[in-house]
Parts: sequence; structure tokens; C-alpha cells
Amino acid sequence: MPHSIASNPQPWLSRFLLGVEESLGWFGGFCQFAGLIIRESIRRPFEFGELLRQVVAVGYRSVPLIVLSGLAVGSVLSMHTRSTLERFGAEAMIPTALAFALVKETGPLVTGLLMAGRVGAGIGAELGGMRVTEQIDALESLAVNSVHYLVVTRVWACVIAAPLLTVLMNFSGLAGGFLAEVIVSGTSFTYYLHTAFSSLAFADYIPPTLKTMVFGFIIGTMSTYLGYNASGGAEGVGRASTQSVVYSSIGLIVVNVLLVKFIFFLYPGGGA
Amino acid sequence: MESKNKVLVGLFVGGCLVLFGVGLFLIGSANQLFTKSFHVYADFAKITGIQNGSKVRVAGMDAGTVIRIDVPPRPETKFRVHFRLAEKLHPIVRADSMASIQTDGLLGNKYLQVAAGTSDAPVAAADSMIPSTEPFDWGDLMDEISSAVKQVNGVLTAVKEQLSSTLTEVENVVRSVNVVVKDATPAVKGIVESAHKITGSLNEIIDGVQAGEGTMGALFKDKELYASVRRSAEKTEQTIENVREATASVKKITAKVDESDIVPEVQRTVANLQRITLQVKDAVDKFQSASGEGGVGENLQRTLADAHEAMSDLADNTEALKHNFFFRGFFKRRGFYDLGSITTREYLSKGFAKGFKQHRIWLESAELFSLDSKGIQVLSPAGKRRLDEVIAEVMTLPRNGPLIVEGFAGEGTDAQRYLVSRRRSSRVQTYIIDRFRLRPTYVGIVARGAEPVAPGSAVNKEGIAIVSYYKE
Amino acid sequence: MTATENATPGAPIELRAVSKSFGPRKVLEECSFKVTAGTAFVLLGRSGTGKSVTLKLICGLIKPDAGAVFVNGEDITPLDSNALAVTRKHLGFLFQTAALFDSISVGENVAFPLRRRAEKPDPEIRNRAAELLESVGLGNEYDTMPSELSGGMRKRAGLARALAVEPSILLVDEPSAGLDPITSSEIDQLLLKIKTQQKTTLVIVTHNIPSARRVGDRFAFLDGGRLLAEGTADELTASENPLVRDFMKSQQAG
Ligand SMILES: Nc1ncnc2c1ncn2[C@@H]1O[C@H](COP(=O)(O)OP(=O)(O)O)[C@@H](O)[C@H]1O
Ligand SMILES: [Mg+2]
Repeated sequence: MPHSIASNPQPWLSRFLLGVEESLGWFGGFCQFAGLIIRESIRRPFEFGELLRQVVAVGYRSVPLIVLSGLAVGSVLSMHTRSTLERFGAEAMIPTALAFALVKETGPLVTGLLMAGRVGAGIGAELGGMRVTEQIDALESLAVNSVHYLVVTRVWACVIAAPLLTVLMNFSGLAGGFLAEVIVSGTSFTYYLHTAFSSLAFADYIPPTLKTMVFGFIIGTMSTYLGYNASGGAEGVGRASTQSVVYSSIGLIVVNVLLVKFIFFLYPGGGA
Repeated sequence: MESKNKVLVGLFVGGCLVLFGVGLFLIGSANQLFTKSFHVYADFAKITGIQNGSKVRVAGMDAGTVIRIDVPPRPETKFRVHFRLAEKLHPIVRADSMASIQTDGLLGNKYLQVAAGTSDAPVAAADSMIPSTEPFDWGDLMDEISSAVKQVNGVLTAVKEQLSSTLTEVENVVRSVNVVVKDATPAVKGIVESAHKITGSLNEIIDGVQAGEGTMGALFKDKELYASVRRSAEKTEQTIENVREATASVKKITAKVDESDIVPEVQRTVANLQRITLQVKDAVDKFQSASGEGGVGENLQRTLADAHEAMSDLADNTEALKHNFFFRGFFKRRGFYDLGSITTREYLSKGFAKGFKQHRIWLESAELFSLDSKGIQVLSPAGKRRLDEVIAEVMTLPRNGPLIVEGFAGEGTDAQRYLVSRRRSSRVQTYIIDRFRLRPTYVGIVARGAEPVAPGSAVNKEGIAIVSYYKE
Repeated sequence: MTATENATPGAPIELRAVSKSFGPRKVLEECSFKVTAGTAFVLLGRSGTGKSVTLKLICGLIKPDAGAVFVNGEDITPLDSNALAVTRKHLGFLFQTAALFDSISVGENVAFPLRRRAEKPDPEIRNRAAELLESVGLGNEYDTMPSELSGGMRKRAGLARALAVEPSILLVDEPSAGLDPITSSEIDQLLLKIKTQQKTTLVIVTHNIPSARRVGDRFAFLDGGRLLAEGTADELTASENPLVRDFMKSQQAG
């Protein structure tokens, strides 16, 4: 097949078509892999110990990063919101506006991107390293289904950790916003929290938080796919790692657009 | 190793779930989910963006959320909005509490407002319906107004056309009269000529014609002329019906709060019409007295009197529009006075025409009015002359304040007194506006009803007072 | 087509006309051999001729492009990871690179397959793992991380892990590479012991001819994707093929 395309008289066209074919092949492989993950997810016995280990690695160890980023994002957002709302004399709306921004979009997306960076790179490098040093083969030789043991656990760890980290990001963001605000207006934290959530509906809070499970799935699947199929020694491992970050981030941003549309379709106006 | 992982995972998952729960709780309590509540519902033809979970406020206080909206099965049926209200607010939610859909401040969220009821009404039962007002929809109202105004305008144009054709008929009559008169006796000719000398106006000509009774009688024997006047009268009658309908529409609009550029237009048209009917009426008055016995003239006159009354209604309603919250500023800016509909109480209050001087002239009823063949009080020729004198006197004062015609009547029931006093002042008002070309908005009437001639006297005043307000 | 054919009885391992290429590079071309139960089969050949690939084919880690691989009487070529796991329960594999899991200690590497079976309580598993490490001369290295071991030590730890489940088939890829002669011969003794005592079928890839002679029963020489020669050590030493002869002799000398 590539042969017939390569024989095209137009070299740039054939190169382009080859590129398209390669990308499609890559994407096909990815989808197959995602399907395999889903199939292996429901097969018993569950690798519970490994899952715990991965939730610690993916979730627990991301807590400092998420909390610090949340504080920073929240305080910066709050300051920007203040400068805008001040003009209308609507400073009282700051917690509400911040909560809207954080809970509905910023929190999930920033969490997803941070996870893509920290977790995606980690998984890509770890599995890539295991692949090129034959550790995955060794695992298989010991009668362990490597997809079931290594991949499924990591993907689920991402799926579990993503919404939890998002919640953490949202609250850290609100805490950051509160810190930025308390300096200026000396408001109380409970009042701040109450105002922040007062204008939110469950439809503003639950779907955007849960949608990050899809982010987690994309990050997990993408980075395990790239790591699991790494080749080419240390260089290949590095490539798998960086590509994990890049592709997960892109995938996440694209899927976010679809998810926002989808959530809006399910809860029209829930996104006032 | 694994047990340590379990602890860490427990810490992480548990901690985050607790935070998530805190968020759920805060949203829930903001939506009154955790307070004891009761359910009621209200029907709306239009829900303008209200949805499940929308906030509900009772007298401005956050009280609950919309829990369900039943979509109507047929277009004629309304949406049924079910909502939850905090039990603690139950005592002020009465069976007459009005539900309406409102827009929240900055973010523009829609919410349901439930007004506190009146203490007379029973507390709204759980799962009962409370009354609702449709959400205010600017676009709809504009549509309604412009169609009503279109209707009014259409009717008024028709009235105008028909009245002016009536006028033309009348003019034609007068022209024929003139021709006839010219060929008649020199004595009549002389009268007509002298009348011409006094004034060139149509009314004076006809006044002069009154003398030649025989000629007038001949005139009304002309079958064709008779038929045409008759036709005009019928047409006018039909038009009056239309005006009545239009008046109803205007009333409806006035009931609502809104603005339209067409309102002053309507008012101008109404004013024009009033003047036209007055003129026609006056002209026909002349025929009436000329022809003597009840006939075309009287018929036409009654029709026109009706027309005038209908028109006054329309004018009243348009006037009401001016007092409307939205239009008040608009009319004030254009220098409209509210004299047209000033209430007696307003007029007698200290605030009226503060800083103005007052010149008051009393006119007995007997001086001004005589009964026509139907027993209706109309201005007598002598009365008119008396009025001319009085206004001439008033005109010597600076004309920088309102001119008020107060009416008094002492006989009959309160309603009759009011109506008679109002009619007296109104007759005088229309006469002097027309006669002296006064701006209608500066001449007001006040029906004062019964008032003793002197304090403690058993005899009531009968007549009118012309009061001129002015500033030196 | 070969999938429908039956394996040769008494041969737990059989390759039948197996071909394997990586891109344009043809590694194996219609290569066939079988290994009798309880014997040691030594695979010889120059570097890069496909010996490690052959072992991975037997383990099912690589799928052949054509041909059939029978393990314990079953053609494993169409099997997926889950089905292969059944076959692999009876199989031990020492990788050329040892392939220790570098996130857990040496002892836990050895304990890993035991824990997966979860047939014994934890202290017993630890004891058994320590015992295995002892048998490969790493008695003191239970808690050492793999990255801290030398190449030869890693190899021995890898062997201990492969032996942990007492496999009926053991695939060993260059066990003596990087080992001193004494340790190397100790390993040979270990392999001989499990062959004779546990009737384990061995496939050994090695360049160490003396060691191969000590342990091996039959020998095969892989070159150009085919077995150039197959037979006992003496048969190969007497081969007409100069390459095979030279290989046997040069190593013998060294
Ligand atoms: N996964 C792989 N991808 C591509 N080429 C491979 C792969 N594994 C082995 N090869 C190639 O196959 C050939 C045989 O390799 P191998 O079996 O490791 O040689 P040796 O006989 O030294 O063990 C080598 O040329 C190697 O480059
Ligand atoms: Mg090799």
C-alpha cells in the first residue's frame, strides 16, 4: 500500500499521503489500545495492590503540585477579577466569579494539563524504560498480562485521581483567591466559601468535575500507549515521555471542547 | 509497602472526597436542599429561561429552587413550574402570593420571585397552585402596542376622512345657502353681508342664515342633500363604534407599563379629531336651530355628541398614559400639562399652581345655558356672548399659567351633580378653546360638584367659575 | 496451516518452519528444531543471528511471521497474553539483559512470581526467595536494589527469579556472560542439577563452549536464519561446515 503511494509522481504529495497514512495508522493503534484497556479493565482479578501503588504515584504525589498551582491560579484569577469587577462596583461578586471560573473550566483544565505534564511524562518514561530494558517481556514471561498489570492500573489511577485532584485544585484556587482577597477586604473564609458556591448549581459543579475522568483516561491511555510501545533505547524512552505530555495535552484540550458541548447538551443553561 | 499505600490512598481519596462533599453541601444549602421545605407550583405561558434548579425567592429572600417544569401538552396550556420553598417562609406565602419570573443582577440568571401574600388570604397549602403574572416581555408588549396603535390610527384616519367628508357636505350646504340667499330678498342679503363683515368664519355665516327660515326649509326638502347628510351621519356612527373599540385597546395598553413613540401621535390625532367633531357639531348646531323640528340636524348632532364623548374617553385614556411611570418624563419634557385629567382633590390641594396669582370670574348657570329641544343643557347664544366677554377680560392678564373651568351643580345625586358640573365646565372649555384658539393642554376642567353659595347655606352653587392663573 | 498439525510427542518445545523478520531484516527463515523433554538444548551462533529472538519466540513474546511454535504440545502462535499465561506458568526465562524490575529490590524480584501465585504466606515466600538467591550466590543481596548490582550479579538474580516457580521449561540467554569462571561453573552445576533432579527442559544460548559441553545434550548452530548444524557436541565439532567447526574449537581453546 505505501508502495503504491510512494510511486506517485508528485514527491511532496506522496510524502504528505504517507504522513497521513502513518498518522492514521498510529491513531488506529491508539484506539485499539484504548479498546484493549477497556476490555482488560473488566477482567478479574483486579490488580488492586498495583492500583493502590499507582494512585499514590499519580494522585497523592501530585498533591503538592496541584495545591501550589491552585493557590497561584486562584490568587491571580482573583486579582484579575477584582480589577474588572471593581469598575462596576461589583467586588461582592469576586468569590462567585472566581468559583464559576474555577469550578466550571479553569480547575478541570489546569488540573488536566498539570497531570499531563507530571503524570503523563512519568508514565511514558516509566513504561518506555520497562519496554526497552525488557522488563515488560520479563513480566509477560512470568505469566503476567502486562497490559492488565501495568497499563490498566495506571489508566485507572489517572481516572480516579483526575477528579479528586480537580476538587483539590478548585479548593486550593478558592483558598488562593481568598488569600488575595483577604489582604484587600479582610473577608472571612466561611463567608467567602458560601458566597463562592451560592450561585453554583449542581450542574455547574458535578459534570465539570467528573468530566476530568475522561481527561484522566486520555492522559493514562496516551502515555501508557506511547510508553508501552516505546523502542530505540534511552532516546526512545525520552521520546515516549515528551510525546506523552504533548499528545495528552492536545487530546485533552480537543476532548474538552467536545465535553463542554456535550455537558451543555445534557444540562442546557446549567452553564449560565 | 502495600499497607502504607493503602493509608496514603485513603488519605488522598478521603480528603478530596470530603472537599467535594463540602462543595456539594455548600451548593445544596445555597439551594435550600437541607432545610425543611414545602412544594407549591405556578403556571406560566412563558418561562423565559427558568429551569430545574433555578432559584426561588420569597420577597427577595433565597427560599428554594425549581424542582420540575411540566411542559404543556397543548399550545393553549401553560407550563407548570413546581418549586420548593423553605418551610420557615411558609407563614408569609399566602394563597394570593404572586409568582413572577425575574432576572438577577449582573449575571442575568432567571429566578422565580414569590411575593409575600396578604394576611387576609390563607397560608398557601402544600402542593397547591399560587397565582402568577406572566414575565414582562418587552418584545411582546411592543407588538401588542403597535398593533393596537395601528388599529387606533386606522380608525382615527377613517373618522377623520368621514368627518371631513361630512364637513365638506356641510360646506356645500352652506355654499348652496349662500347662492340661495344671494337670490333672495335684499333684506336677507343685507343680513348675510353684515354677518360677513363681522367675521369670515363659517359659523357666523350660518348664524346669519338663521334669519331666512323659509329658505332653510326649502333647503331641507332637497332629497339628495338630505340623503347625503344622512349617509354621512351613519358612517360617522359606525366610526364611533370603531373608536370605542380602539379606546378599549388603549386602555389595555395603559394598564401595562411601556413606551412607544406613537403615543404622542395618538394624542395629536385625538386632539385633531376633537376639534373636528367640535366644529362639525357646532355647524350642525346651527342647522338644528335653523331647521327647528327634529330631523337630520338633530340626528347628526347626537351622533357627533357621541363621537365627542367617545373621543374624550380616548383622550382620557391617552392622558392616563401620560401619568404612567414610563411616560411621565417623556410628556413633561414636551411641555404637556396634566390639566386634562387633574382630579378635584389634586386641584384643591395646596400644591396646585403654587406661586401663581388667581383671577376668578363666576358665571351663573342661567346666564350661560339654555335647554335644547331634547332637554340637554347647551350654551345659549347669550351665554356665548357672555363667555366671549369674560375671556376677553381674562386675556388682558398675562397668559403664563393654566386656565381652569370649574363646574358646580347642586341638584340630584352626587353622581348627577358631578356629571352635570363636569358637563358644564366641559361645554365651556370646548367653546372657549375653539373660540379663542387656546391650547387645549392649558385649559383644564374641574368638576367640583355641589358647594353651598355661602358657608352654611342650604343653597348650592349652580354654574361655572373661570379661574385664570398667572404670574406677573 | 501448521496450526492444525500436532506437536511431536515427547518434545515440549518444537519450532516448525518458523520465519521472522524485523522490517527488511530477515532474522529467521523457515527454522525448525525440537527439544526433547528433560534435555538441555544449546543454541550457538554469532551475535545478532537471532538466538535471543528464538527464545522469545518460544516464550511467545514475539510472534513468528510464519510457521508454528509448539510449547508443551500446544501451538502458541495464535494465543494472546491471557492464554499464553497458562503456558508461561511452566516456563522460566533468563533474559540476556536479566530484565530485573528496577523499582523493587532484588529479593522482591525473586519473590515476585511467587507472590503472583499467592500459594504461600508472605514469610514463606520471603524464605523461598532468600533460598533461591543463596543458590545463585546472592544470599546477602535480598534488599539491594537491582541498579546497585553488577552485570553478573544481575544475571544470577534473573536466574533465581526464573527458577522461582520451578519451571518445567527453562530458557536461559547467555547465563555466563560477564561471570568469572568459578561463578560460571557454579551456575552450570545449578543448571545441571535442575535438569537432572527436576527433569527440566533447558534451552541455553551461550558463547561459552566448555560450559555448554558441561550442561548441553544437543547443540545447534544458528546462522543466516537457519540451523546450519544440529547434533551432539562431538557431531558439531566434526561438522563439514568450517564455521561450525571453528566456532566449537575456538571457544574450546578460549
Ligand atoms: N524487537 C526488535 N526489533 C527489531 N529488531 C530486532 C528486535 N529484536 C531483535 N532484533 C534484531 O534481530 C537480530 C537478532 O537479534 P538477537 O536475537 O538479539 O541476536 P543474538 O543472536 O545476538 O541474540 C538482530 O539483528 C537484532 O537487531
Ligand atoms: Mg542475544
